[in-house]
Amino acid sequence: MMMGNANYTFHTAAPSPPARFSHRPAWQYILWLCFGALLISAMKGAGLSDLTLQDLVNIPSHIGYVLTRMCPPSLERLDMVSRAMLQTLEMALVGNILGIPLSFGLAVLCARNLTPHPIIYYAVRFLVTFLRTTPSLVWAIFLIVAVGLGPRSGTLTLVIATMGFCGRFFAESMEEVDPGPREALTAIGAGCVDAVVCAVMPMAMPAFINTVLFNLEHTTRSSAVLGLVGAGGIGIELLVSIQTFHYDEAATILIYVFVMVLGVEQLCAWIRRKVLSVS
Amino acid sequence: MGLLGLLIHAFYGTEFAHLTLAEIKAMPLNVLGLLRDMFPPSHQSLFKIGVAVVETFQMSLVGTLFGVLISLPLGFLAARSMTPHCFWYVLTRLVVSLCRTVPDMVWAIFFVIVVGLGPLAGMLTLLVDTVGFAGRFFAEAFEEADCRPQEALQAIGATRGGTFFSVILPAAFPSCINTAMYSMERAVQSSVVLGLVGAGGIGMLLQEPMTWHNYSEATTVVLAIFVMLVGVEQLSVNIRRHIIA
Repeated sequence: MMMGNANYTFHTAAPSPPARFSHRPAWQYILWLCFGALLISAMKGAGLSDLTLQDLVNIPSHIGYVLTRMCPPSLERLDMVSRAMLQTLEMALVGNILGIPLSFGLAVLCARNLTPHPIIYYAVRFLVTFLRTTPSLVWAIFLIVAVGLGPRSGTLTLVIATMGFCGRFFAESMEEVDPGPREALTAIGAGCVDAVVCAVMPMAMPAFINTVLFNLEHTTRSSAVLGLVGAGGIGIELLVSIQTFHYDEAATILIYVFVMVLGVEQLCAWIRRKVLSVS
Repeated sequence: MGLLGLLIHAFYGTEFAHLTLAEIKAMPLNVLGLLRDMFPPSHQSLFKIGVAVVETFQMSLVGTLFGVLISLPLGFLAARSMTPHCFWYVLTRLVVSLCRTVPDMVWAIFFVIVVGLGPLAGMLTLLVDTVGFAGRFFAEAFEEADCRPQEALQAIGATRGGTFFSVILPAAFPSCINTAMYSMERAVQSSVVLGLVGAGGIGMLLQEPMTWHNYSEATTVVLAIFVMLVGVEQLSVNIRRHIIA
């Protein structure tokens, strides 16, 4: 009998009874109470308490107004928009191509099992975390100051975003591989680099491909907004058309972005199926 | 060949191909000059930054909470195994992917137009963002749940709702918690930049010093953002470990 409770002694034939409600310690109730208070204050801080009934009535009509101004989408500057769109895609592509080799280097240095020294491990880990957690728009603002307005700063931003993202996940997938083959190679005298390239990388390859494809989706999505701060791509077209109240043009750009992101997502899903099912 | 051509065109299109030597030489100097302006970080407006950090956190907490609450029924409708009708499936899938693929800055601009400047617009943006992310993963988690208990319940006459609440939701619960915590992290991360278009939060404080070339203050803001993001990431990792284990 699992439960030593006198009430259950005559149920010996039955399967173990379901877990009973047990009293939780008081601090858990206090924790929930604190959480509730935090939530209420957060709602106030997020501006929910300023909402009046009038606002609630007005919001749908506002949305309706913006939507009617957006239809029908204008096709006037389609060639300009298409060129900006192409640039956006190219920024994402070049950002990935330059960023992925760099993140390999970082990942080898900050994989727990491959790092040459613990100090390097912690330093590179910190660097990768810093690259990843600082939002890409913040990087874009700083890079514009450093290399000037235009797609170059946007591409460098995406290189940094790629290093932060791929650096972390490459390192994690290299930590997860079976250590046996690497040890075997090292035992017969292979160098450190040889062992990584010939034993660790092939085994982590499916995970790498997955990460790269996910990163491609991620960078495509963020390349669309980098233009908002002047780092090239379609974002600047969008910002200008909204600021000049050309909502119909903004609608065209939005549809374009939607199609592009969805297209890249579908493409990545297709490649993932194709490549990962074979290997 | 075609791929190579595309690649070369891409390098031209992003202005990497015509980098001159002088520009490359100037870059380190630019960066050094920027770094010199950035350090030491100023501590004049620490209080203002603290208030903005709290506001950012509040926006993302409320946005994620409501977003997750809305995503649950959406995920139910968008799960192939649960949806009452094919029409609902297509409709909810479309809504969720629209929320996801339109970038959050665009949503922010839209909500600033609709409800005005301030954290409310940011909160709504994060809500939509969470719906796009969590809606998809909730639906996938519901679809992946083991189908035998569902069949067993349905065989003894359980309704769709009954099956959902007593079998699928408990089975998918760890995955849902994981998704919710991850979307909280994402929300904090994107709430940081929403201020750039006036949707509240710490981004507003970043715009101002950058426009006035007051880089030492910008550094303080960036450091505050970094500390906040790492803190939330650690917190979410701990909560996840605590709940799932």
